[in-house]
This record gives sequence, C-alpha cells and structure tokens, in this order.
Amino acid sequence: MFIVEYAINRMKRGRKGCIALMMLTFSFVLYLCILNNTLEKKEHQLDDIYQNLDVECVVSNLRGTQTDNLYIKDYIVSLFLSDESTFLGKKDVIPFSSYVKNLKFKLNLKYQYLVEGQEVFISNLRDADDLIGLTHLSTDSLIAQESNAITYFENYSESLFLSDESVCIVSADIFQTLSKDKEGNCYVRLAVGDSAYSEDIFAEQRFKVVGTYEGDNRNIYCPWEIIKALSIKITGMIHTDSLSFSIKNNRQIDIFKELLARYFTNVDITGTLTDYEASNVLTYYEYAITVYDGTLNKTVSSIKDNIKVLEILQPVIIMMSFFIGFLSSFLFVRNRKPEFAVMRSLGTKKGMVFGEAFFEQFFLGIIGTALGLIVYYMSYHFEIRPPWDNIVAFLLCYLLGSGVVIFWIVNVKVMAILKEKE
Amino acid sequence: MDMISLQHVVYTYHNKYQTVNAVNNVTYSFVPGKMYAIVGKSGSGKTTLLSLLAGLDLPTQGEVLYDNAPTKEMDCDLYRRDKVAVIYQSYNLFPLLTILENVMYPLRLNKVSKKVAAGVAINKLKSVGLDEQYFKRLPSMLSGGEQQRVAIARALASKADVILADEPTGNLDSENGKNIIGILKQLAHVDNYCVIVVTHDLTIADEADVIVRMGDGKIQTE
Repeated sequence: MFIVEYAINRMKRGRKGCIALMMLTFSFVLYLCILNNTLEKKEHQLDDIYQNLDVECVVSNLRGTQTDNLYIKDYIVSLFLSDESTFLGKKDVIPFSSYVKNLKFKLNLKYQYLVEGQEVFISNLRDADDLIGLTHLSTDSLIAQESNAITYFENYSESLFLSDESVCIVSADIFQTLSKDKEGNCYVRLAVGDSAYSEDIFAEQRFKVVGTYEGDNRNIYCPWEIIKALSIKITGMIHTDSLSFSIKNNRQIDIFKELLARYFTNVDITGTLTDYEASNVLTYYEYAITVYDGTLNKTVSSIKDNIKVLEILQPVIIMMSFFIGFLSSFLFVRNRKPEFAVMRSLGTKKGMVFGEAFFEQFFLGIIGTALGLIVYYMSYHFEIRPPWDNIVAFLLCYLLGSGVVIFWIVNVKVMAILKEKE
Repeated sequence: MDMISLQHVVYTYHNKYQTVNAVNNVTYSFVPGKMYAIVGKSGSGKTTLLSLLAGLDLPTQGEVLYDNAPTKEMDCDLYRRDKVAVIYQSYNLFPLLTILENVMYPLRLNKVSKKVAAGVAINKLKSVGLDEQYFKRLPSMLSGGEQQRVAIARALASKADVILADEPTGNLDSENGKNIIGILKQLAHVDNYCVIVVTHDLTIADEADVIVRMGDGKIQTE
C-alpha cells in the first residue's frame, strides 16, 4: 500500500525521532515487565514464608507460667480431634481442627506392674509411677533431655509415639529387671489409673518394650493414642496435660485467632479471671494461649508493604500510558502539521493522512514493545511470564492517546497551517 | 471556455472581535492558456481567493465553478488531486522523501504503479531543468530555486489543468524568481495550463497576461 510505503520511507530517514519513540515504549514495557516480575517474586516470597514458617501456639495457665500438668479438659481436647465443631449451638462451616497441624499432646496417668492372674488394681494411686503418653518427646522435659540417649529396638524410632501401637520405652535400669520371652521380646502388663479423676477405676494395658533411655527413672513412655484410649476407659473423657500446635494456614491466622478467643484468653501475668460468656457451665476462661506469630508478622509486614507499593504503581503506569501516548504523539506529530496540510492540499483523504500517522505510531509502538519483551526475556528468561494484560492495556492506552492527538491535528484547517508556516 | 470561475463568491469568517468579509461578492472567470496575476496589499483577500479556488475552503455564499460544475458538489479531495495543483511560497515539499518520491506522490495517490510513476516523475523533473543527479536527494539538499522547480514538477505530475501559485517567488532571489515565472509562463502558453499567481510583487505581475487587482475582498480592476 502506497501510504505504508510512504510511512516506511519516512521512518527510515527520520531515525532520531523514531528511535526516541521506540525507546519510550520499550522502556515502559520493560518497566511493566520488571515491575510485575518483582511483584510476583515478592508474592512467592510471601507464600514461602506463610507456608514454611511455623507459627506455634502453646496452651498455658492464665498467668502463662505453666504449660504442663494443666489437665486440659475434654471440651478443649475434642476441638482439636473432632471433624466438627460447634459454638453457641451453631455448627462451624470450617471445623476448628482444620486450622491446626503438628498437634503435641502429653498425658500423665499412673501405673502399677501386674503379674499373671493379678487383679487390675493400684494400691497407692497418688504415689504410683507415671505412665506418660505423648506425641513428641519434646513435650516431656525429662525424656526430651534424654532423647539422644534413647536406644530403640528393631526398627522403632521417635515416630512410634505418633502410632497407635501398644509399645513403650522404659529406663535402661528398669529394663534389666524385666523378663524376656523366648524371642528376646519384653512385655509389661500394667494397671493404669488417673489420680486426678478417681481412686477406684483402673484399666489394664499390655505393652511391648521397644526401647530404653538412660537412667533409673520409673517413668514409662508410650504413644499418645494408647494413653488417650486408656483415659477414655477410665474417665470416659479425653484430657491432656499439655497442648501445643502449629497453625496450618498462616494466611488465616487472624480468622483462627477469633476462633481461639472463644476458648482461650490471653496470658495475663496478674492471673485475673476473665468472664467466659460462651458457656453456661464455666464462669471464667480456664486456659490461656500464646500465639508465637511475632516473627511471622515482622517478616511479612515489610514484604506486604513492598507489594502494596508495587500494586499501586502498576495501574498508575497504565493510566499514565494514555498521557504518555498522547504526549509522545503530540510531540512527534505536531511538527508534521504542515506536512499533513500539504498532503491534504495534494488531495490526500483525511483518513489516509490519519492512517499514515497512526501506522507510524503503531509500528514504532509495537517494535518498542517487542524490544522490551526481548530484553526482558534475555534478562529473566520469562521465569515469570510477562504481564500480557498490562502490556496490552498499555499499548491500547498509548494508541488511543496517539489516535486522539493525530485526529485532532489532522482536522485543523489546511490553509491556516500553511499560512502559519509562511 | 472558462476553466475555473467564481460566481458572486463571498467568504466570511468570524474572530473574537469582528466578522470579516475576506472575499466580498467576487465574480470572475479564468481560462486556460493564460497566466493571471492576482495582486493586492496584504489583507486584500487574494490568498483567501486562492484557497477557495484550490478547494481548501468553501465559500460562504456563491459558487466556485470548475468546468461549469460547482466545486461544492465535488469530492474536495479528488478536486485537489485531479483538477488543481498548488505551488506555495515555501515550496512545501515532503522533507523525508527524495525529490523523485516527492514528484511521484500525486501519481501514487492516484494508484499509478511505482514504475510508471517514476517514469512520469523523471520526465516532469527534466522538463523543469532538474536531471538525474537530483533525483535521490532530499529537499534540504537543494537550493530554494531548485526546490520550487520540484514543487512545479509535482504540480505537473498530477492530472491538474489549473496551477495556483501563492507567492511562488517570495523566498527566492530575483534570478531564480525570474526563472520560476518563466516556467509558469511556458506552462500557460505552451502547455495550455490555466496559471493563476497570487503576488504582491508588481514586477512579477507585469509578466502575467492578465493582472487582477484586489482590494478589501473585491476585484477592483483588471
């Protein structure tokens, strides 16, 4: 087409202006790509932090001075173990337990060794030895210290405490005193009771000893599931002496804190009792909880601030592109007013004049955009894909701005322009 | 036979302060084969008259007739492309097109093929005294007189029978000015163009076949 040929000849010979215009779109597109790249990297960084940073929550007494031997009751424990939760008669759409992970329980019951044929009974329950059921060694200060000195038999490891096998570990000195069967396995038969609940109710449990720890302590350690089952047998309820957990989805911390506030109060060093309005039975909150989200908040807040700034910049740049298109076209095209007037005076239709000028703007805009994308690819290899929607919006705004100014300039009176020049 | 004529033409424009009758009830006819000089002081309406003849504007009243057909009923762009050609004081060549491309422009606008257009353009350039050495140059590489010749060659390249020249020697020295007027006279007398020159220079006007004096938007004498 003749008018395209005209435009190409012009662009070949008027390189300076063309390069300037190309550089404009090139830099804008490259900037948009880099901005988007930075934004997405920040968001990935934020995702990583939310996913990988564990926010631990620890249940304690009201003063926050005690995190063990709390005798946390059934109504609390069942929140974490049940697939449903209700509050004030309403069922939660998302159950409480779905917000938590890495639950750590520990419960102390009492035991007494039984021999074959012996009645399941503990003579002096309060002074009896401890059967400690736990999910993690770290929940018990004594065994946690000995964790490196535990010898596991067969292929057992610390993960046994997360199972529901009837296995246990005992101190090395106690193990020496226990009898073994023909295969060398050692079993113990125990009467188990709960001194905090009742002096008269006992359950029987048989364990296989699968490990020993250094020392002569009489504590026996078994999986949490076993002690939970024993507790239900003895008391009809589940309770725990210590409870801690991590939040599953850190992005839902604020929602979860609202749920926690239903059942736990904040640690108050004065130990002041806070009214517990959600229950007809309880008058005050019984337990406090500490959510260790300080590190998360600190790490996340600075990244969030950066993201906020970047998110504001993106639409600003796109809006500015209309004005940049307008301004660049105005500056590029206004010096061509007399040329347009001559074209019109030679009989060129307005549409063709507009088309030629717009084609140049379009062509240079596309080349500049392509160059911007090439440089972005060479620098970042499209690790994060370019923001195509933003680039298209930018180009459309730029072309719209160009179109407006070219239309305006092309419609000025021909003779007036020619006389102005003279 | 009238090539182009004005019938009771009035052209009025309004500015912030007043309404101006730039052309005030002008009736006149121009015939082919003659060179006309429209003279008058600045503000007499001669350039406005030229723009009406060139179809760059339409009269407020009256008619401009080309070959007895009113121009306001024609497609203005086609009229400017095929019927009239304008030469300006400051040449108004396309600065980023070569001399040859400048002259080819009206032909290419009429969808003439590149090869044929180049052939015609070369002939026209040679007819105004410009040879091959000029063809690939840009206008900025030429003198004023040479640029005005290119402008004339471009005017000849179109199908126009009427050549309108607005102060064609205004930016030239007397030597070049004479040469340009000589070319225009030849176009009128030899090639039978209707040549209308607007000028305030009476020495240029003396070269014309007909002098039309304008004042206050009216033709005062002939």
